[in-house]
Amino acid sequence: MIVERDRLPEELQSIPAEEFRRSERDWQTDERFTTEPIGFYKDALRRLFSNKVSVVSLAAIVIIIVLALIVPNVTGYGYTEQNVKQKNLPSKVPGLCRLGILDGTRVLTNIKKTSISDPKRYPEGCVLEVIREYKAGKQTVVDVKVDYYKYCGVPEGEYHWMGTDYLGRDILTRLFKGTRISLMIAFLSVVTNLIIGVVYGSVAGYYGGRVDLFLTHLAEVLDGLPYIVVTILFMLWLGSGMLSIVLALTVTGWIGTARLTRAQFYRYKGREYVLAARTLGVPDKKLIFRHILPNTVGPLITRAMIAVPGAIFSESFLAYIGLGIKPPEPSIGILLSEGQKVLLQYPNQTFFPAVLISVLMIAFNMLSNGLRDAMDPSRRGED
Amino acid sequence: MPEQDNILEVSHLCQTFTSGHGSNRIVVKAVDDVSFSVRRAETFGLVGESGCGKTTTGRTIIRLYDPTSGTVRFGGRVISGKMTRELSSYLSSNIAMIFQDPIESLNPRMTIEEIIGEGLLLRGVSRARVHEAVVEMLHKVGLTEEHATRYPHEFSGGQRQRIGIARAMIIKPKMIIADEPVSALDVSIQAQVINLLNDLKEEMGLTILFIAHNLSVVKYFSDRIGVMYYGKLVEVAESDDLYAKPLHPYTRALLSAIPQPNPLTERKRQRIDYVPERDHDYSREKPEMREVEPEHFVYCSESELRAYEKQLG
Repeated sequence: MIVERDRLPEELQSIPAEEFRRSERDWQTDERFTTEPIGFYKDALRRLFSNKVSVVSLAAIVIIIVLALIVPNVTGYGYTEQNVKQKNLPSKVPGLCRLGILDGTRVLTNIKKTSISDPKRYPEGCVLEVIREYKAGKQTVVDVKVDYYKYCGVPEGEYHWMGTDYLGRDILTRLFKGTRISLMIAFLSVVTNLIIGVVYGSVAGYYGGRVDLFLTHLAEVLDGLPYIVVTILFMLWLGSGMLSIVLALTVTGWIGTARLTRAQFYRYKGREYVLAARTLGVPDKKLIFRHILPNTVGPLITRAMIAVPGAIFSESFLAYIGLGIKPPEPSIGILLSEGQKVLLQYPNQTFFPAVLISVLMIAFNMLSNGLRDAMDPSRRGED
Repeated sequence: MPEQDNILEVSHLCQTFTSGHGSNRIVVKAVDDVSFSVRRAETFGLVGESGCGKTTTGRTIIRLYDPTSGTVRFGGRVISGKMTRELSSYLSSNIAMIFQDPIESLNPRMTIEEIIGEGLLLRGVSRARVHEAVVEMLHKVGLTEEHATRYPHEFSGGQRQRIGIARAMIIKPKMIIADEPVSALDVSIQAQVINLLNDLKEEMGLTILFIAHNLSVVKYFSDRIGVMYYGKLVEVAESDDLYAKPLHPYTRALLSAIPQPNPLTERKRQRIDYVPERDHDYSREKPEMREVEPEHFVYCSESELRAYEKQLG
């Protein structure tokens, strides 16, 4: 505040001018900071890793990805390798089979007692115990627990950890091969959605006005397309394969991202730092990608993460209703759809893919929750 | 007024904003027929209450908004016309802006070096040279080299405002539009920032268009002052003149609102109200900008002009 002398109280006016000194407080000596500089991403990562649920989810996702990359190559079976004699085997895991679980045994019911002793049908040593014996008419019928591997003539030392399917293909190999394909479809479609959505939303949000009106309504129209119909059309056009599924998931999938980006642009484009950059002559392209977009990264990453399990689920759903990728290629959805046909007889064929897809979905959802919290600027500086 | 000295000439500048369509259409006249000029190396203060169009005037001059009508000349060249790439680079290398909110005006995702150096990088200066210039500028505004790698949220309000000043100064503009650079800072820091601006101004021979609502700061800092009311410029005079003999009733009302540091006189201070309908009768005469005495312009009608001249004696 600048004060005129004659407005001061009288006792102050009488002080001679020499008595006044400039304040000693000198701002020229701003202190160095002693802490490390913390950028946005560093801060977000630190907060992400301090959240236990996020760390566990991230670990689960990484493990599944690594397994998907390794397992199909080391099981010793090809994912299309059929063996009609060894179909619908139960699961048998080395080590565990000695404990009596997952030991490759199965209970066969309603068998003529006389046939048990026929070595052509029941090879030596495959019948482990007779559980029940009863009369049906004149026949004596038994329920027996058999070593199904011996029963089917699988050589000793061969294991199918998750059993085999109706064509005798190893489910473990197929499951992780399928996970690989499902994840690939998910990531591909999410990345394409993200790229298209971000560019579209940026343009609509940054330029606003008529451009925005046109682009928003165009997206609105596309959003109205029924996506199953679109998928079927793509299948007709390109054949059933990964490409048509990715395209089908892309046709409407990017619209949400575009809307989010547009809203974020409306939020940030009027900020003073954007105006400041404009007065410095920063070109539009740089304003969009350097000044505005980095501030919208938080919600975008979160959204992409939520979209991954969504895409996996959509792919599975399409496969389940028969619009999946071309057999014999597996995907989690195809395995589930094959498994559910024999759900009551061989539940292991559904159980393992179901567990895997559940873990994957939960992990991705939890991780995106953690990311959202870690990137929320309003939580910055807490803890 | 010697014309050749004017670095910035604003004449009949209008800026309107519209919203809605058809019958819902609303037109807001934010700046309404404003004319003034700023001389080379002077500080021109623009004061007025919140929402009177000060900021809009500043932003229209630097072309953050496209003017609705009127012309703006800078260094003899019309800068209110059609926006071309060439005009845009002329504007951005000659006029810079300092913003009101020190928190809002720095990009939270960029380091201080990136923020300050951006203007130079755009002009094709090499990275090493930019770094040198940034460090030099940081020292000028009282920060250290080490601060260059920091992010804005690690600084205090006063420090951030100094960073904002460094960003504006590094391209060595001829004119700075300072849009309420101190109103978001507390009083002890205001003096720092104002003194820094003053030092830089003398060092670099800058012209400053200083937009503020704190009258004591404006008086201390400005050579000439323009008072705005409701989108119109109502009085332009040299700083001391304006405070010694305010003529327009709005200027008087504004000056009467300054609190005084002496409790004895403060208690007796009379506030003057400004009611346009009561204070002016423009039903017969059209008001316009008139020179009452040399260098003292008032927006008034013919009869008011005579009254003012009488008042000055």
